[in-house]
Amino acid sequence: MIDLYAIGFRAAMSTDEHRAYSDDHPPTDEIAARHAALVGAARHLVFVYPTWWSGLPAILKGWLERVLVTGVAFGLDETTRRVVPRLDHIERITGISTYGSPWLYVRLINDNGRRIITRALRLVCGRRTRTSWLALYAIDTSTPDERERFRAEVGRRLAAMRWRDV
Amino acid sequence: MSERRRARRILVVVAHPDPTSFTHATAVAITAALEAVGHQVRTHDLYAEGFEPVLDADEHRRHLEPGVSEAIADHAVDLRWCEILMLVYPTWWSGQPAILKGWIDRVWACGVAWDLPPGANRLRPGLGNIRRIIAVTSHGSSKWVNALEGEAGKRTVTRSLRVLCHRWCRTGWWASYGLDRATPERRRAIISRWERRARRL
Repeated sequence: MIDLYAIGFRAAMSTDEHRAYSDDHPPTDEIAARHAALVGAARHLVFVYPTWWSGLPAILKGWLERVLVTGVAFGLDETTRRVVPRLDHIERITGISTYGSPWLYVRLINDNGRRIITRALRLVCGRRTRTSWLALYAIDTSTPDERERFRAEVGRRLAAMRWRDV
Repeated sequence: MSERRRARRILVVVAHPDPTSFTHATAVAITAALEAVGHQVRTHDLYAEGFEPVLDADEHRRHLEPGVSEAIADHAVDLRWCEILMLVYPTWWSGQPAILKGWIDRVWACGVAWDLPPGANRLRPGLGNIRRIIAVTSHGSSKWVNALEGEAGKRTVTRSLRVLCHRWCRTGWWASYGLDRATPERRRAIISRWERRARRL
């Protein structure tokens, strides 16, 4: 498990990292490289975060940008300059998020965190990669009971997930 | 200045780590064009200013109290000063770069961009001063790939941010695609296009 705040993860990509972005090798930063290796060995990516401004908190957005670089999440074909997925070993992506807004508002307005995780990220995974979403809406007015039920639901859903035979 | 247009207060926020980037060249050109036609422009180059994008535990604990951290007070002042907000950035993972997302997380705070009446689920808008939000953003991949990904960043600007601005706030999406494969000529042409638009604001 990676707790981005606990480790003081740096969110902003540096100039050097940006210049090296298109190089087809893992991140040069030690922590980012370690995380890239973890992603390379994972079958399931689970993102747990509060939705802020319909999207990912900056620290998590920064993690995607600095860890899932060229050579880790995808390759860039030399001739066509098109993106080639490299996360096809990931069987599942699960997003678990809390929202200030109620369900209908999120559904009608937008859920950009979910879009980034279940579309943009999924595009660099395999065709068989499955995504799941577990959400708790209107958290500012939720009761302790509702939050406890959500936690239990998360546990049940994760335990019930099925995996490919290795 | 023609009768239909008057001098406006414009805040330009730039987010790119590399000062030699296309993003920076775009921001410089647009700012020059805006000032040339008489607008008042204030700029925040987030990387140059060492802006910290990560909202800390203390800020989170106090997120329902009005105000922002002392270190970023000038950002809040400028956000409430402007009539037009221009965000100049590269689209990464279909959205704003982390440093810009963090600018939204930390500066668009209670008492600055919104407040939350007791018992309410929806924020009450606080940026009635802003009548236009314009995202000026480049994309490495094609328009097609970005459409497939759902353009999360576009929706953040045109929906989540806009809803806290003036009731009739319009949004602009000045986007360029396929920059991974763009020639220097094409890049120059894109910047010229934004300069012309800036002059007509």
